[in-house]
Amino acid sequence: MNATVIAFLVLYYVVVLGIGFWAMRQGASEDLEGFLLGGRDVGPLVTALTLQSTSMSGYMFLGAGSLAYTTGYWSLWFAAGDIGGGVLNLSVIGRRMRKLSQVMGSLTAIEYLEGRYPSSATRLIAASLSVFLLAFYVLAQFIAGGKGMALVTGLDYSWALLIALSIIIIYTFLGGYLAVAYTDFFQSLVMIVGVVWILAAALAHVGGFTAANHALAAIDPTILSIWGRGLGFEGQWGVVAGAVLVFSAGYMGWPHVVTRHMAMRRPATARLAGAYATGWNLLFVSSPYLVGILAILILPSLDDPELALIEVARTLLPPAATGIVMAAIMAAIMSTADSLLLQTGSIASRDLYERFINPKASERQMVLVSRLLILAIGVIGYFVALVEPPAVAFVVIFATSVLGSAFAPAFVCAVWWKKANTPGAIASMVAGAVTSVAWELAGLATATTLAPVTAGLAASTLAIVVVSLATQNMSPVPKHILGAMEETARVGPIPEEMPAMFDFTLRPEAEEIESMIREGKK
Amino acid sequence: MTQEIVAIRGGVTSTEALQVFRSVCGGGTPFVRRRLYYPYFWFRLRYRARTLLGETALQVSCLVDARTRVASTSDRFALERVEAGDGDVVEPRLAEDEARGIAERYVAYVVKNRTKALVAPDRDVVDRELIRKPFWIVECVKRPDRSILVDGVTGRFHPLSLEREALPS
Repeated sequence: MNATVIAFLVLYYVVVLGIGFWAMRQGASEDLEGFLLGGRDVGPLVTALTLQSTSMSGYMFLGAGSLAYTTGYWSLWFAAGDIGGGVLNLSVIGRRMRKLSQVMGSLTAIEYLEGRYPSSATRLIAASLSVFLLAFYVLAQFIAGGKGMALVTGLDYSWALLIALSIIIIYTFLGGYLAVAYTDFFQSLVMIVGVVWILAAALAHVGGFTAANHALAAIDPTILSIWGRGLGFEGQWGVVAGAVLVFSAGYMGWPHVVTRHMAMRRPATARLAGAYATGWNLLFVSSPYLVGILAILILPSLDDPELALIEVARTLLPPAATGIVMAAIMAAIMSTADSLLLQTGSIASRDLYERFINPKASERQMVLVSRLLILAIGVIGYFVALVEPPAVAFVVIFATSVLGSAFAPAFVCAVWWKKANTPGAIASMVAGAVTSVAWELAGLATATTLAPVTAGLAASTLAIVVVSLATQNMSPVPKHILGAMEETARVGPIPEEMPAMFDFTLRPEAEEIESMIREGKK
Repeated sequence: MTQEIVAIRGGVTSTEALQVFRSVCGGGTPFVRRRLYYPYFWFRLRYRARTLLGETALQVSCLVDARTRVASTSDRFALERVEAGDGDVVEPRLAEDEARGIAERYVAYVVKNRTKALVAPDRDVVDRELIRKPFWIVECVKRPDRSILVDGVTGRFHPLSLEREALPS
């Protein structure tokens, strides 16, 4: 156990809790009214980095490095999808989803789906899938935390896992303070410093990219191939498509990611935040993969490839820097895990418990349900992670594949296709989820050269098209939804010379006043 | 006929609204068509909750658009009583009780998500009122397709689609 590493890790926790405690004191004096909760933004930079810290998880430090260590440059297909995913989502569904959710009065992604595809079955299926898969995703954060903690502290994995898991759960229960935007911002800074530090040290150690590539080619030239080490995926475009799609289209299935579109404010702010986020992604997303590839040279005989990044840090960096890297890993894990746990608890309590089990549930009862569910996820997660821990990369890719397969076509068609109806959406969610899970469990990816997400997306897209067309007479899209979609598709005549600096939030008033003027009323 | 209304104090004058138009639309001859007072139900909600870090309390202002039902949290603002012509005052289409329900639901969602709170806070309405916000409608001579709506409080704007009834078919 290295005292310096532990000291820096503890210092990190002290700073995070200190920010929270400071904000709590400010909040208690009620001076912060309308600040973080009000109409004022914390700015595009803080907004962008806050969102990124939430979406970047322990996968980036353990899963990405492991994929790169085992498959070489092929792993960058995943990074490519991840880097472009945010812009793709914003471009395809961003503006229209924001408008449609506003017209329908939806606050959450599941409410939105039920509003667009009216049926309690829509909510039941969407909420159940989300709860199960988000909980599964959190499992990856527990495992990542446990492994990282064990390596750095020297503790036995079972104890390290218990400590990491306890920190995550307590951190989640500690929430409710006003500084979340700033703790997430601080965490994102720690993450970027940590990962770039390792990359810089690794590059310096191997003599730069050119020297590294020559050395890698000497070990095995296929490490440099786009088809994977040993050309394991040669010609398998279905698998390559899956690698790109999983973190691009797959993100469309994440409730907390698509909810961001609904909360988007001014286009100019969103665009600036998008630019910051893309810049951050270019630096952050590709770095763990590159370190994983360089680890083949630095640590050629690693027992556990998931520890590639941490081992490289321990080997090349001074203890204080390793402490910062470890803090970065815990930052990535905690900022994602608490968001996902709260999201899971919220969906379970509001969309399942209140809606289908106890419609008269009080706010306190729903909070209790959320807390019990989070504790249950912690307990079950501990034993699964202890007895037979799956690979972090597998858990993350699997959960994202299933969520994307189940929801992406439903979200896209919700704003782009007027014939997409309730039976079509339900069939799409079921077909996408079942196909991607079956594909994974049956090991069909190798036999068919199609990744689960590729097959799942194909199945769910086909299902929504075929079933919607077949059931148009039986289940037409309600007129108020068609009206809302037409309203959503309408783009006002914005003169070319008028820069996109207008305030999106004024759109409801603008449209209301337009209609009053048209009707000749006041 | 005029009536007395409670409005958010707007610092943006008609001259400044014209400047907003010029700054974003360039050429053309803008003119202010009218000033409208648009209705909102304003609620100040207080939340108190015990967390593991101690008791937290905060007040949140929420505006509910009294015509479209859209809710949003807001910064502090000053109110004033003004005399306005009947033709310039937009009437609400929403009842106050319904607006309160929308505000409570929306603010609960915002508080929970922005603070990552896993608590059931005590909540009460500290203040409420039907208020109005001034807006300027600025048009361009012979170019109604270049009209904008200027927020009389913040100076922010949004384009208006007035071409259908204003332009010759």
